[in-house]
Amino acid sequence: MAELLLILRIAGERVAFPASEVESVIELEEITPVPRTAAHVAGLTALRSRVLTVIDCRASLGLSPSADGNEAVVVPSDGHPYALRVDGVEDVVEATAPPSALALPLGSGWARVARGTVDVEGDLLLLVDPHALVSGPALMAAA
Amino acid sequence: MDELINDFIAETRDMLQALSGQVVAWEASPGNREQLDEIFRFVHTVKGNSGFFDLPRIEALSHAAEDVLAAVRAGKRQADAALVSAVLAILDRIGSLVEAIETGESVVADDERLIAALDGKALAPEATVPDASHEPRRAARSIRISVELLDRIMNGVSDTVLARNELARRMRETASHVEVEAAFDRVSACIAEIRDAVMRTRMQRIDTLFTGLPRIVRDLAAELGKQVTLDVDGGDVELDREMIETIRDPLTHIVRNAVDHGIEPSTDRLRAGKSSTGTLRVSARQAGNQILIDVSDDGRGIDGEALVRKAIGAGLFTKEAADRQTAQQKVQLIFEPGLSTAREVTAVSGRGVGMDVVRSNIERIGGLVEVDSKPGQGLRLTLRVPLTLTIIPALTILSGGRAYAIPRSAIEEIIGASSGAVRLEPVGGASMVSIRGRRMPYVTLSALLGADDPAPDQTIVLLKPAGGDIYALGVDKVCDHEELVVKPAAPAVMAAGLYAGTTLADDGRPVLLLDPSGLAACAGIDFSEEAAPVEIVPAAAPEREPVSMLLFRAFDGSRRAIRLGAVERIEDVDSALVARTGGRLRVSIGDRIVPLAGCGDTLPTGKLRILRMNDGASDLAYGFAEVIDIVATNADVQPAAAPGEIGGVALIEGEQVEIVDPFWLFATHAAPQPDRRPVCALPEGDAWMEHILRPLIESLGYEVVSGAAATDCDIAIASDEGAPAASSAADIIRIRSRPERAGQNDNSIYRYDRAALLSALAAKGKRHG
Repeated sequence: MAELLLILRIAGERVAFPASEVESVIELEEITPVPRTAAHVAGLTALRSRVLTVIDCRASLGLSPSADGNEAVVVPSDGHPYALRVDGVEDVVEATAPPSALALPLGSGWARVARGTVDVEGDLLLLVDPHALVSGPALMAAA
Repeated sequence: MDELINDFIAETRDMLQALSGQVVAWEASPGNREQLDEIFRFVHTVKGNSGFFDLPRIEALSHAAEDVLAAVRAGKRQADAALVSAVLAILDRIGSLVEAIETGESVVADDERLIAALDGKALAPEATVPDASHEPRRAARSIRISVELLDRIMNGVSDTVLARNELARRMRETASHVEVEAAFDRVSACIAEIRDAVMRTRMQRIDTLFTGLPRIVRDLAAELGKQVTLDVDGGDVELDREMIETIRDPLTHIVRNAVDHGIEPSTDRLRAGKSSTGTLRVSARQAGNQILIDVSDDGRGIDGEALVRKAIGAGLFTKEAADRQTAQQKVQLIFEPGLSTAREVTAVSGRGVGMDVVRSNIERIGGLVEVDSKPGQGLRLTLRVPLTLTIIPALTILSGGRAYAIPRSAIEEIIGASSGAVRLEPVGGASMVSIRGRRMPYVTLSALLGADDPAPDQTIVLLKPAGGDIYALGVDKVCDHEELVVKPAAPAVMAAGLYAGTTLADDGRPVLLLDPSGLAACAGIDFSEEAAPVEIVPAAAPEREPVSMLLFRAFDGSRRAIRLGAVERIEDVDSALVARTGGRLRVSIGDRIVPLAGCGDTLPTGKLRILRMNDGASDLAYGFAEVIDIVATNADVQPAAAPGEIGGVALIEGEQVEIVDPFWLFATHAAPQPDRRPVCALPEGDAWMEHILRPLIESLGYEVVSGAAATDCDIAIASDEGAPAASSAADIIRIRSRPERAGQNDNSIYRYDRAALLSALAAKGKRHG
């Protein structure tokens, strides 16, 4: 059974999300900031009657938060809807082979969220767990 | 019970419906094992349920069918056509009996014949009684629906409401046709109705919470060898489904506690002069948009002293602190983690779930737990919970250009910071605000949220969070009262500890709902007066001599201290002797009037305690509520942000104490006072002077003498008709009874010319003072 992958760009890298985890891709409009929260919580945004928590993927990787980029991937996680702000969303592709285990040491931020590598049309991409991005660095460190 | 039996009816009907296909298949090929198993499971389930609900006819039928089907499954009997139709007849009968329970009709038919038919006996044609009521079966009155679907409907309705609001705004912006507006109003009304109806689908009778209680009480009482009667009332109150689930555990815990710890064994009860059977009452009622659930027992109540002993044992506070606790405060200790009055931890209640968990669970959904304990007579716990989790009345406010919402239930009052009744007082870097003599901590929301500087003209919202004390929150602007549909926020947002949830404003923007107790905690406002011990003062400056300080509680409840050396003595005075005179509070002590500080601007009532202070030249009284202790301390004093009544704060006995600054007190309050009050003489026998003028003169601090006694006075008053009361007076003020002067040299004052009288008295008084 070929898994569908959503190809997107985070912090300048092309990565893949399992498409089954993704509800939709939206254009972020206004973001309401939430003071006194972790750095990767960019704020709140409304999608029809739902309130989505916007996660800044760069910040979740431990990088400086991205100022621009208005594309986001809606991912329900643990009963709450999140919008993961990414640099850009490219395509949905069918995985040609199951993901293979990580065979190389990654930067600390990526190591936390990567679940393996996938081969997409000849390119080797990281398969990223969106839920790990949602948790953010602080919570993972505590766990 | 009704709820359960409705479930049973609905479930049986569902199963029969699902089974109808199987039944037909089984009829076609009786040897098919799969269908047989399916039908067997059905009759087995029905047998169990009908036994539970005491429905003997259904039980007999299903029991017989189960026996036969078991025999077929075991291969002892063949499923021939006769057997199949006998079983099907039984299924049909069960179906009609179940319907009959719901409609309240009776099915007149002979079940014995159906059962006999199972054993292969000839199925004699039944003398069918024409049963008219059977034909038009009443439509099902209820359906089962998944909560998830309900939530989707709810979301859809919320979307619709938002879309409607958007449309309304657009219509306001553009001049629209009257007919369009009328149509829009109709749509709005429909939407409001749908919203109400959907909201109600989420409601459930609180009965579902109460049905389990009799069993719990019975089992527990039997286990403990106690006799308990349970009295349940108000089961028809409706509550949000999710709310019911949240309350279930806390309520069960409270009930178990009551049976385990509250109600005494029969022998003890008889000895205490009570009936041997304890009574436990659980009742629910609606009050406004709150549901009150009362759990009361006639047991031994809460032993406040035992709790205090435990608390001291656990190091929660000192014995001295404990002695100051009121009975109510002591009882409140049951909400402290790790305290239980049970002498031994029993298997029943000692499961590590304490009242602290109960309280935090209830508070999490915006509720309150109230305790009313009458030692020896019983205990009443009241859970106050909001009607629904989803819609709460809230106040929307602006801070740093962003909208936030505050639950209406926590708001005591809204007042402009520039209002005359409000006084901001910086204390040791923090701020207090006193509003009509009530002093409380003050924080601005902008500061809490780390935003830019607050707008210059803050509006103060007085908040009283559940279980906490009042504090003042400064916001930039108050917008509106709204009913908000609140949803839980993501864990990462809740982790901030400041928010209770999220909601959407009319314009579709997300709004954060603030959590008043979270804000207080974040601001470092500690409500529990006997807070957990703060770390002991490090012995950093051993070379410093300890100073004796008088530790006392001020009128606003705050702990303050003053250098003992600055205090002359402590006196009790009657508050009747305190008056607001000449623009400030003064207390008369003996023959003197002394400025009174420490009371804010409110006149104290009842007995009043004052510290008498003297700087060698003038007297000062400082009112306070009670003496706590005299301590020797060399604690560091953190200076206050600005000079004032409080010079700084220090850590004394592990608690922050405000240090009163005597220098400031004297500088501000005690203008040098004359050794004696100036004396003013009035002519004798003048009723107007005696009754109307005299109080005015006295209010200015004069001692008033009249007639013969007036030998040595500073000012004398004379009427234009008579001689002054005392000729020895240095100054004479002449008063005339007519407005116009009598002549050029008339320097008298018209008796109702208040301003002239006051200035004359003040000028002359000053000369003598």
